[in-house]
Amino acid sequence: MPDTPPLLEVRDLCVRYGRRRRAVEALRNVSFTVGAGERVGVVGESGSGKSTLALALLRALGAAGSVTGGAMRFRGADISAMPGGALRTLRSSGIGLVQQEPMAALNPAMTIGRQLREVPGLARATAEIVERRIQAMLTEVRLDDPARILAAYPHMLSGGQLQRVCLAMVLLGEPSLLILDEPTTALDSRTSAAIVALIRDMADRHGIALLLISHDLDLIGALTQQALVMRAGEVVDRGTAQEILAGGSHPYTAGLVRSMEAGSSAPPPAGRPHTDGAPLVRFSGIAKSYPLSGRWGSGAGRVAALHGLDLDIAPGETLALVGESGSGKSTLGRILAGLDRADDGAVVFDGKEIGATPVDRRPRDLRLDIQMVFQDPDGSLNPSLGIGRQLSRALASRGAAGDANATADLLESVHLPAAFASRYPRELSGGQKQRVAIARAFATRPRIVVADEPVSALDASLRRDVLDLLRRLQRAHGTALLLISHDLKLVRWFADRVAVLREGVIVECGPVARVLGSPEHAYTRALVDAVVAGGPAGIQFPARAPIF
Amino acid sequence: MTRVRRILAALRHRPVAAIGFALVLFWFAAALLAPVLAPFDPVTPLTPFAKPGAQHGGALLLLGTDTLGRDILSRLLFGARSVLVYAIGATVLAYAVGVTAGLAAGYYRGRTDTVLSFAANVVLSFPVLVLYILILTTIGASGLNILLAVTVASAPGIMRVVRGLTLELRARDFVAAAKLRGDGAAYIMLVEILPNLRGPLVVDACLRFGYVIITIGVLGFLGLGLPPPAPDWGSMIKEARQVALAFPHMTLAPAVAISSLVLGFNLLADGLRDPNGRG
Repeated sequence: MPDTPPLLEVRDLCVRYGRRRRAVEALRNVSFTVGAGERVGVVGESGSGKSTLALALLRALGAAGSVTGGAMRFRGADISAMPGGALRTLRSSGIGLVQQEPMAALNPAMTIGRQLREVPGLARATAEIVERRIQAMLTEVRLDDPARILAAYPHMLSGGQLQRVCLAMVLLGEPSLLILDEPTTALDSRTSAAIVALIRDMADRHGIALLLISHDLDLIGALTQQALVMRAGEVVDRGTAQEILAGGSHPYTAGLVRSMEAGSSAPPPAGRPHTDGAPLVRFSGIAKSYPLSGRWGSGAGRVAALHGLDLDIAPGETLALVGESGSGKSTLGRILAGLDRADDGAVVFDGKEIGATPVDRRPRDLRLDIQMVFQDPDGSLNPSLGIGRQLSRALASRGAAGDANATADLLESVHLPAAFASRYPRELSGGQKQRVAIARAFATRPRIVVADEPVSALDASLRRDVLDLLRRLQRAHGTALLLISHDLKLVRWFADRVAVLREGVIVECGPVARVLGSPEHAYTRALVDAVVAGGPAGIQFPARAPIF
Repeated sequence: MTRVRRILAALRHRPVAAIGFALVLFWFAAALLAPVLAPFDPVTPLTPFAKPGAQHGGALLLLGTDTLGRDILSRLLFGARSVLVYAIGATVLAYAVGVTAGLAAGYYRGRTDTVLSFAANVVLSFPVLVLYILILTTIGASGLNILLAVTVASAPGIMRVVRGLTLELRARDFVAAAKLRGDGAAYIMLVEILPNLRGPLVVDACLRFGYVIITIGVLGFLGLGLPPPAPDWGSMIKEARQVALAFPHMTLAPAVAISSLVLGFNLLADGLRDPNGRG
């Protein structure tokens, strides 16, 4: 029996939000320990109480939440009973927190340098030592050109750079426990793989214990030894990371693991071969740049999103467009839909040039032929209008009956009850909203649907259902699909062909199995390797049956 | 039905809004029931300079009479009618103009926005009082002209609020979806965007309503209000100004009337400003 208490001990923790009758139990009897240098993962979907746990450990629940039972001990000291001074020490140099949105964690009106110098642990050192430590830390989190980073404001840096800054900021306090709350969710796959490697490396080097909160089982597998599975505020399963990834001992864990695999086990119905004949869409020489706003709004030139891009999409096929964030993927989809205009190049749809015509001036039939499914389920439905009204408008646009029966059929086609017609978007979950958005896109019987990251805002367990639905409707109507995604696993499972976009041009394009199986371009290889390196061996998408 | 019940339930949880609602309701009832409630005709002289509580022909002069001997309570009750009618009329008209211009400027942007915003800025650059005096001395003081003057003065402010919100909403994906299914600009502005402005506009309207009531009072005080002998709260204060020290009740009663009605709308606006963002 060791004499020293564990680094962090949580026993029967209960947290409640709200008061009296409206109270919600966010955490119920949560118990676990984290030893010095240990790495523990907390898995669960949104709403399972994971983030509440992180906030409770830092006593940062705010006025709405309160700890109603149990104990949290850090090095044996009761966190709930800490006086102000000890609490400040705990937050500055005991437990460090890295959050999901680095942009939200940093002050937009202060330079990175000023924010780093404000780290409490540095307050007593001389200016010279502070500068030296900050420089050393920035090098350690692998930010090149520290001088530029220090002088920059947050909006001038990329998401990956910001997350490195946040990590540096927390590590400057020399914490013995690092809480990571979805640290890579806001990043694209290659950046997140680099961040994961960095976190692992820093934890190794400084002997820091990790508490990793994530819905991403791959991440849990890559970074932790022990894992807890949470659901609706309770720990339903626990074990080593390998046990959890193998399905754990609770049915819920098994379900979570299965849904991560995203694919249905049955091979998808065979699509028609479309590679011969005229393409439905042909992009040629597409260029698009945006004005880059400098400090005073202008004069900083333009940033090129796309330059000279060529791409064909065949009728009825699923073409995935992959690339890092900022590579211009979404821009291309918006250009096709007429929501954005290319500076140069041609978009030929069904033999006619349409790229020069913005959506407002396109003939109605053309507009209806090209539909979109957007990334953000909240923004894609009008919060002030009923679901039924939004769907019937889409149905009626093609001259179809937009009455209650037709709307009910449409809802049924995306597995939603007819009664949803009278609901408002705020009464729907994220997955349900995305189903409605898919229904709306297919209601006009389009010939191509642009799906821009259609499931990246959804919980892992919902992704598979939504994707299955998308595929079923696509096959049923013979619709072509331009899938924009940064998730290679999803692409491998879902698409016929894949086009890899880098810095505004297609570097590689071809059948999914060929491009992702034996990539020819160095960049594609780097993308594929990033996924393999970031994830554990345990989880694989099922191999896709060949279509032809 | 359910909406009314929801509003009443919301008011129960927000005492401040409930007080505001009660004040507003009180004056609306007073205006509606003025012919029943008023003990005298508002323009018939009775006994000049009667103090509150005096008698006239067996009836009580609860708030006394003014310099011409007209019953102040009756004038207040009938005055509520004109102030509410003109304030509602002016606010509705100002909103019709301001919302239309704001939607157009925010949705079309470009030249439409430049022209409309410039016009709004020109109007907003005048001191408000100067603007009212300019307009009303040029076209003459009458009920309709008060409506026009208030509309000209408030529409630019409303336009700017609506324009800002529209600029943000037009970039949302549901607007893109509407364009993709072939909906035109008018449909998108009125059906897709306008309902989403409801929350902020209801709050804005309550505040503006109070402001318009003050404006109408000020115009009456300046002699630019409804022509006499119509019972107008601002005019009542003006007429009693010279004897205000000897007969404070003559100015106090209409002043309290204006303040309580404005306060009612302001409290209501505060209460409607839901912290959760739901209008």
